[in-house]
Amino acid sequence: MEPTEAYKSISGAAGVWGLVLAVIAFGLVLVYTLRPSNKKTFDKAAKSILGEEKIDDDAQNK
Amino acid sequence: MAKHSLTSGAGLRTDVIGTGLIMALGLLWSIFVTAKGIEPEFRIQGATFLGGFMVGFFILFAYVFSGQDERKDEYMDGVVRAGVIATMFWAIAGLLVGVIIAAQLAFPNIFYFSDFGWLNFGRLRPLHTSAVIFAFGGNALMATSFYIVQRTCRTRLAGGVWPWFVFLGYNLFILVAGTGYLLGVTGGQEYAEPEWYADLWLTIVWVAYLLVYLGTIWKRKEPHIYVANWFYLAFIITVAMLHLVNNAALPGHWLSSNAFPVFGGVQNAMTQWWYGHNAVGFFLTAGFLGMMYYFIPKRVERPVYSYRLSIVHFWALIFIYIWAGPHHLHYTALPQWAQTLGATFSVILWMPSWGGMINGLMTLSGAWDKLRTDPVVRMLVASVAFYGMSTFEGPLMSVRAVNSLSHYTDWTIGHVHSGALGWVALISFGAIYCLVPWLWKRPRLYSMKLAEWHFWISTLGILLYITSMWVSGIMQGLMWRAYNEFGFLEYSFVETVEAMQPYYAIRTLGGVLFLAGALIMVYNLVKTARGDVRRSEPLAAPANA
Repeated sequence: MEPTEAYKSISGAAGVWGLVLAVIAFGLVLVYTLRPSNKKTFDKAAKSILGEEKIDDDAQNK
Repeated sequence: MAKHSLTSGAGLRTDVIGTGLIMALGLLWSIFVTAKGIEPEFRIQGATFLGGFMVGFFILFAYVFSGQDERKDEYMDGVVRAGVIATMFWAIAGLLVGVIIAAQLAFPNIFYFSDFGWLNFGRLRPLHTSAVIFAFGGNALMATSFYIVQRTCRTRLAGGVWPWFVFLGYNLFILVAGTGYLLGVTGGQEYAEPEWYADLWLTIVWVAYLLVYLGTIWKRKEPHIYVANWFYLAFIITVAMLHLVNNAALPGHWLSSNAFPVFGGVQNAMTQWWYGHNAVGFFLTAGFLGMMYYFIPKRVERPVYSYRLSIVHFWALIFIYIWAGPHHLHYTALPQWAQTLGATFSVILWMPSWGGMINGLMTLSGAWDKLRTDPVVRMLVASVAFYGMSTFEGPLMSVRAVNSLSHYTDWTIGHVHSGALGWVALISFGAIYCLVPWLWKRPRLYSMKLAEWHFWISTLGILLYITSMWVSGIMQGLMWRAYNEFGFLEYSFVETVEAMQPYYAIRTLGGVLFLAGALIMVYNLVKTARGDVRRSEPLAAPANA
């Protein structure tokens, strides 16, 4: 059975726009990751789990 | 935030009221089902729920009156300890059932129990898969996620008694699902077999899990959310979505266990494998990567090789995995473009998977000697190596031409087990070897030697398992497609079954070894928790906590 025109146009558009959105999203991830100003945060985060991880909850925190 | 301050005050305990109310409603429902359920199986399921809720109330009262919940100055580790115990219990149970069904396939004359229909392969197989994936893997994920989110956020778990509700409620779900399979209660969709009432219960538990996790992150004392939490959160959110969509079903009667799926035909198949493959991607991969990004740096005392790579790993994995499902439906009624889409995204997954593997392995740079001295590090590293290997094999098998040979054969089973035993089980074992001394405040494991034995025995078991399944699977696929000079099939089906018998025996042996290793581990952990140190291995022996 031949797919209907509606099916072909919807699945085709979903493929094209899906690809465009995925590339844009990946670009945004790379910008966030490689931004020089984020380097300090990431370095600190990577080291944050080393050593003793003390609880920081307030003692009087009800 | 608001919930936290309400629950921790001396006045209104919304957590106790909330969990109590849910259990009270569940109790009423289960009494009804136990008394009035149409099928006897459903009445047994109702009675199981009933017992679970009664135990739940008992634990809730004990919790409230013990005053344990008032401690605000320390991490909530009781639920993590309980989770570790549950993890090891289900590991043994699930592996044991796996060995039994492997033996049933290899030696059907001995292990076919004609008088005990509920012990046949068809009932035990979903029990095995659910016990190892959801019971063992799920408890490992819950326990480690509760441990990690508290440490990395420097704050106690949110929600008062809710974390206990999540842990116990989840295990009640497993109990109901597992006993249901033995009784023959099943929805019949692979890895999503539990029926509608168990699915509803899991939904309640899972939403509570998500809220506890988010609540803890919300009140964190660290500005940045450590990457391991991203992976755990993706696992929790995506599993919720998968579970809801794939289990959409209408019960035939509210006093019957039977339900009818909303989707039919190829739509149902697509939904099922969208679910099925993302159970692999988000349950068996994302969550355990969270484990990797915490325990490997922690154990080798080095920050992760590249934090930036871990972020790219995360987003790429999340964006790509969700599309890979259709590769389970090559050469079916599914439109071909969808099949190709599934295969394409599977192949693209090579990049984030190997990026992540390299990131995990290279975290050891400058500390490679630990591979020689610490069997736990070796176990963690071997698991990441298996992660790399099975994520290489998977995309290969998703290509239509390869799939035409591999699909429906034992190659798939071998592939799944290189991921499940090699990656998931070994990273969980490694994490638990780290956790038990930390949680029970012991200087180190009872015996590093036994951990060493465990490592080698289980690795040998995995190798026997996957190599025998490669040979048997490829042989099976080739025999099925062999034609003679007249264009007839060369082999009858039963001839292919006969040819596989030796490999099934080898696979059983592999499973026995893997189970033996896990039993050694349990012994080692029990001794560790009790505070024993093996006399021939004095404390000064090289081993970090």
